[in-house]
Amino acid sequence: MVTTDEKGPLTAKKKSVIIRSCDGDEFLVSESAAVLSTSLKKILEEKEDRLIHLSDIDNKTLAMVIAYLSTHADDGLSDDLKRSFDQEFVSGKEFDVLKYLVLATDTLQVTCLCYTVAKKMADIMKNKLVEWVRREFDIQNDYTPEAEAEIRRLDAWAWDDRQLEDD
Amino acid sequence: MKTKIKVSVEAQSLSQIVSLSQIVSSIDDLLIQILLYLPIKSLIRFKSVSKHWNSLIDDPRFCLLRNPNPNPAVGIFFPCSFSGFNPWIEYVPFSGIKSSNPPFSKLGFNKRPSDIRIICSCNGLLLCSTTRDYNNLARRYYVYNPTSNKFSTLPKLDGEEDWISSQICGMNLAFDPAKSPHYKVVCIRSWRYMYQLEVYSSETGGPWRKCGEPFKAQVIFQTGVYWNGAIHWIINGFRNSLHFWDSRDSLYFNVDDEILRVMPLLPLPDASNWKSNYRFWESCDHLHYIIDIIRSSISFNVYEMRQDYSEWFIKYRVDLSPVVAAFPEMIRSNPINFYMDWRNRPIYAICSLVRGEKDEDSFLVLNIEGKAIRYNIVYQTFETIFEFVGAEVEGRERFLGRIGYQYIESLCGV
Repeated sequence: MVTTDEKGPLTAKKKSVIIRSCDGDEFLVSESAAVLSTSLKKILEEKEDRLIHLSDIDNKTLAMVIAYLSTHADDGLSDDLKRSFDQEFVSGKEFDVLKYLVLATDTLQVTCLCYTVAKKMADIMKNKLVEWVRREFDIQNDYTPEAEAEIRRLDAWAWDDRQLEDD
Repeated sequence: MKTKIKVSVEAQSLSQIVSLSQIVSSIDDLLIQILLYLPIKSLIRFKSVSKHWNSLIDDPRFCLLRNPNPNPAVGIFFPCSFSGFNPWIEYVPFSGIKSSNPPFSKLGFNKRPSDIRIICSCNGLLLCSTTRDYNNLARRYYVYNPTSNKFSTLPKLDGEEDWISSQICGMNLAFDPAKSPHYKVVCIRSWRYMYQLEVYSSETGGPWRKCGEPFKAQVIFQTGVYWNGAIHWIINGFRNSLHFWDSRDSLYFNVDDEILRVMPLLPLPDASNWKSNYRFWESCDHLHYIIDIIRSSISFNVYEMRQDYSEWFIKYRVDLSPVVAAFPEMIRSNPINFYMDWRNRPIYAICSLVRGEKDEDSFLVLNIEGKAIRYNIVYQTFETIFEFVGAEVEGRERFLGRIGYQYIESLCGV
């Protein structure tokens, strides 16, 4: 990865930007990576400044997003390698971490990563109990017990004997 | 000077929101993005998470995002029976795996499944009717979504039930979720040797509305096919019929402008083959035409109609010889008493034509003596996806429908 940067001496003077998380840490990012985020691209088009402060994204999440952006901005990597990086990127991540990530990618408008994370979240959710979903998304059940029973009765086939998970 | 640029998340709602989870679930676009990746079964369960989730999942815009049109069929419904009695409808997934999603094995919406038959399948919805009443004006007609297991009953048609002259000759469903979450049903009734169209729209509700003037035609109204915003009826191939009307025109009726038009002539076989069953087949927004070859050759063409109705062109050349090698009985020649003896009916039939995402994914579903065979047209590979069992034990004639009705996943309301 490092060698590819040195490959093109004519374009080696790459511009970079500094992105600061809400905890105050700063990250140096090449402009080619930053513009993969539609939000950052817009900011860079409008402002001369090379420092962008993100008040909603914490250190840990920002570091992950930047790792993603840098990998995808690397012209030396094949599409196949990038795809397997994406798979690796979300695998094994906690649901909470994915929530931070999905919010950050939504804020920064990194569409591809947003889809990848959303897909991973759905993959975790698909066999979970409704109660688990309510807990994870902090949702109040606003059905009456009768109304909830009725809605389940109407779609009985979706509630077969398959084991649904609560954790 | 440092510029602080705040990229904010739904700033107006943040004041009341405390947890990360609440932020995620407060952004509908984000939530929808996640929900789109869930299997249908999970989605249906998650309608009971909250009223808000229910409204998101039930929204026609979500349905369309989830199952854009065209959306390939994942299985097929087969009418089955023993000796014609107590018919039922069997669901056969194309994957051949019974447990695949959704898990129904029978069509499940009526208390007495033997009372229900499928008339047509259209982009995720089925048009069904009761079968008990001899006169079809007395029958009830339903539009049914097998995925959500919801149906609605169509209003009754006007007319004297004992008047043959007001018989229903055909019922067709027109539904394209990419255009509208509403559907229309087109009914064709015969009236003094002429035909009259009537239309029901789910957007405006009943009653049925007469459409245009009575007209003459020589088409098969029972097997109309919806494609490109219109219902298409194929010529019936009879000469010198009772109507003293000789036409070689297939017709189509655009449900939006409500105009009846003539289709380009079909690439017909020679006149000696007139008794073949002609059929249109729709799959993934393509209209096809195959001569259902009874007793004729094992290779034939699949024609496709151009979107602008300029011509029929050959889409596939089908060669069934690999299947014939495995099931030699399928071309057993039928003796001349074919029309005399109902038991000696044709031994195989094309039940469905399904287009894949790529041209080479397309396949036919064949019914060979009670087995449903999935036959890939391009690669000429095949597998048995369903076998009608029990007939030997029961000692009764088994019957597997000659036509299957495609199952397409859809969350659309009816």
